[in-house]
Amino acid sequence: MVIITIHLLTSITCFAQTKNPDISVITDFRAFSHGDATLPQEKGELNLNLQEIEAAVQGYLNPYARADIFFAKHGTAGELEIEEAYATFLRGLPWGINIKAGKYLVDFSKLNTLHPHAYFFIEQPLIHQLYFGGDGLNDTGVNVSVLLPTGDLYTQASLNVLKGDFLAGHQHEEAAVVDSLDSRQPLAYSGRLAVHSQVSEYANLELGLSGLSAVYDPHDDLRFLLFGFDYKYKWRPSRHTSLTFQGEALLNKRKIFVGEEETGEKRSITTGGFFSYLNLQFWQRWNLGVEGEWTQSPENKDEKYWSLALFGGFSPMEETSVVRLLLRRQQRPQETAFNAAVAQLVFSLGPHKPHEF
Amino acid sequence: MKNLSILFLIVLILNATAPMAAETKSIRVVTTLMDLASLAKVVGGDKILVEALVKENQDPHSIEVLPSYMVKLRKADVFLIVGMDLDIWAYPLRDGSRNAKLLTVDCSKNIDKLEVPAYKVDPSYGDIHLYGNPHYWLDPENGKAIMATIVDALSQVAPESHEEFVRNMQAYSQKLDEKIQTWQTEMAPFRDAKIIFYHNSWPYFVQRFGLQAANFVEPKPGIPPSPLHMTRLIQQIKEQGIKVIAMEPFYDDRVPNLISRETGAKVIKLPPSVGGTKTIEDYIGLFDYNISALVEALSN
Repeated sequence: MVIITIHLLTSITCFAQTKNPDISVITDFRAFSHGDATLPQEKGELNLNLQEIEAAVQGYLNPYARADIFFAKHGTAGELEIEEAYATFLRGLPWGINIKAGKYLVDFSKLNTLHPHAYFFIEQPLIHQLYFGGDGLNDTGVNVSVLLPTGDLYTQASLNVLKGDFLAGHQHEEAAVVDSLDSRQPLAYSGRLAVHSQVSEYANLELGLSGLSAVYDPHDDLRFLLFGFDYKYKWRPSRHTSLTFQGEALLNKRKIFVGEEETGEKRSITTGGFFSYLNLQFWQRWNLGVEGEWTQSPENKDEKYWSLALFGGFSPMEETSVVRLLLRRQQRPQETAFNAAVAQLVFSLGPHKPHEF
Repeated sequence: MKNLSILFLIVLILNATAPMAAETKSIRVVTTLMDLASLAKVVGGDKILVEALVKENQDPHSIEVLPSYMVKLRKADVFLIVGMDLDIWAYPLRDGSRNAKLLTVDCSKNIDKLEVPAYKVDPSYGDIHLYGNPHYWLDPENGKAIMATIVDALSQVAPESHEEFVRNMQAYSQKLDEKIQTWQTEMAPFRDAKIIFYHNSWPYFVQRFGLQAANFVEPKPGIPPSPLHMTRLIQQIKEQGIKVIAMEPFYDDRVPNLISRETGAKVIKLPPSVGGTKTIEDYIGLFDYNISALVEALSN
C-alpha cells in the first residue's frame, strides 16, 4: 500500500512538472538624458528608470490550442498590468483557420506585434505613439486568420473584432465622461494581408497591408479609418551577419469636431506618417543602425513631428542580455528640436525562444 | 454514337490510370537537418520527396522561424526533427504551417542519450540542453536508430511500403557497419588523442572513435571565450601537447586561429552535418570527410 501511494505521488509530481508552462521574465532598465523642455525635471539630467518588467507564461493547452499570457509592470511605481492574455486555436478548424481570443497586440503592421523590449531602436515609433497610444495597438478581441493558397508564397489574411479599449487614450475628456454615463464604445474592426517570400537563399521579404475602422468618440460619432503598409527585408548570409530594412507607412482618415459643442461642425481630415530603419548585425553579437520618422498629428495635419536616430547594440551573452544605445534628435510641433541619449539593458530569465522573422 | 464511344474510352483510361497515379504519389518529407534528410532518402527511396530546412553551413541552434519554411511544411506529410531542444524553432514552424495531417517525428526517441544533466540546470552552466547532448547523429551507430524511427514514421503514412522501407534500412545499415569498421581502423592509431573542440557538439563522435575532448574554445556551451579562458587553453595545449583544434565551419575562427598561432596546434573545420562542404553529399560522406580530416591533422 505504501509503495503504491509513493508510486502514485511520484507519478503525480512528474505529471505536474511536465505540465508546467514556460515561464520567463524580461527586465528593461534604462539610463537617459534629453533636452526636452516639456519635462523640466529630467531635462539635462542623468535619469535612471526601470522601464518595464515583463513576465510571460506560455504553453500548449492541449494538442489543438496554446495560451500566452504576459504581465507587465511599468516602472517601480506602476501597476501590474495584463499586457497580453490570449488562447490560440491552432489545429482542428476547417481550412487551416486559426482563432485567437483574448487581449493581444493586434496585427496592424508587423512591428506592433513585437514587444518593445525587442526593438533595436529602443523607443516606440512616433506613429505608434500618436495613432495607437503608448502601449501600441493592444486590445481585447478575436482574431481569425487563414493562409491563402498562393503556392510558394506565404500569404496570411486575418480579421480582428476589437473591443475598442485602445481608443481610451484618444477620447476627449468631456466625451469620456458622457460615454461612461450613456454610451458604449462601439466595436472596432481591423484586417491584415501579409505576404512573405524567400527572395534568395539568404534573403526574405515580407509585405503587409493593414486596415482599421473604429469610432473614437461615440458621443459625437467620430470615426476614423487607418490604412497601413509595412515591409521587412532581411538578408542573413551567416549567423554572424545580417542586414534588416524595415518600415511602415500609415494613412489616417478621420472625422473631427471643430468648434463649440452646440455650434461646431464635423470635418474630415487626412493625415499620415512613416518610420523606417536599417540595422546591420556584424560579428554576431554587435549591431548598428539608423532610424528615421516623420508624422502628422492624428487630429491636425499642421502638427508635424520628425525624428532621426542612431542606434547600436551588443549582446554579451546571446539570448539572455543585450545592451543598447540610442542617440536621437527629435522635433515636435511648436517646440524647438532637442537631443536625447538612451542606454538600455535588457536581461531575461527563462527558456530560450526561437527567433521569429 | 461514335462520340459516346470515345467519351467512354476516355473515362475507362482515366479510371484505369487513377490507381496508378495514387500508387506513385510520393510521401513528402521535410527534415530540420540535412543528416535526417539523407537518412530519410535512404529509407524512403523513390517513395519519398525529401527536403531539409537547415542548409549547408547554418548553425542549427540559431535558425530563424521563417514563413517560407512553413510553406514547405504545409505541403508535407512527415516532419523529422532532431528534438532534445536543438531545433526548438521546429514547433512554431509546425504550428504556422497549419497542416493538420502533418506527422511530426522526434528522431531522438531511440537514442541512448549522452550528457543528460543529473543536476538542476540553469544558464550559469551555459546553453545546456535539458534532455542531453542533442548531436547524436554524429555517431554513425545512431544513424541506424534514426533510420528505425524513420521507417516507423514513413510506414504510418504508407503502410503498404513498410517492407520496402525495412529492406532499404537493412541494406544501408549493413553498409554503415562496414564503413564503421573502416573508420575505426583508420582512427585506431589515434586512440585517446586529445582534441580541443570549439563547441560541445562531438561527444557521440568522440565516444565512437575513442578520442578525448580535452577542452572547448567556448568555456561553457554557447558562451564566447574570455581572455582568461584562452590563456588557460593555451597553457593546457602546450602542457599536454594537443595537436588539433576542431571547430564547426559556421563559428568565428578568429579565437581558434589566435590560439593556434600561440601553440602550433592545427585548426581544422569539421562540418557537423551533410552539406557542410560540397563534397559531403550524404550521411556516409559526412564521416568519410571528418575522419579523413582528423586522420590527416593528427598524423601531422
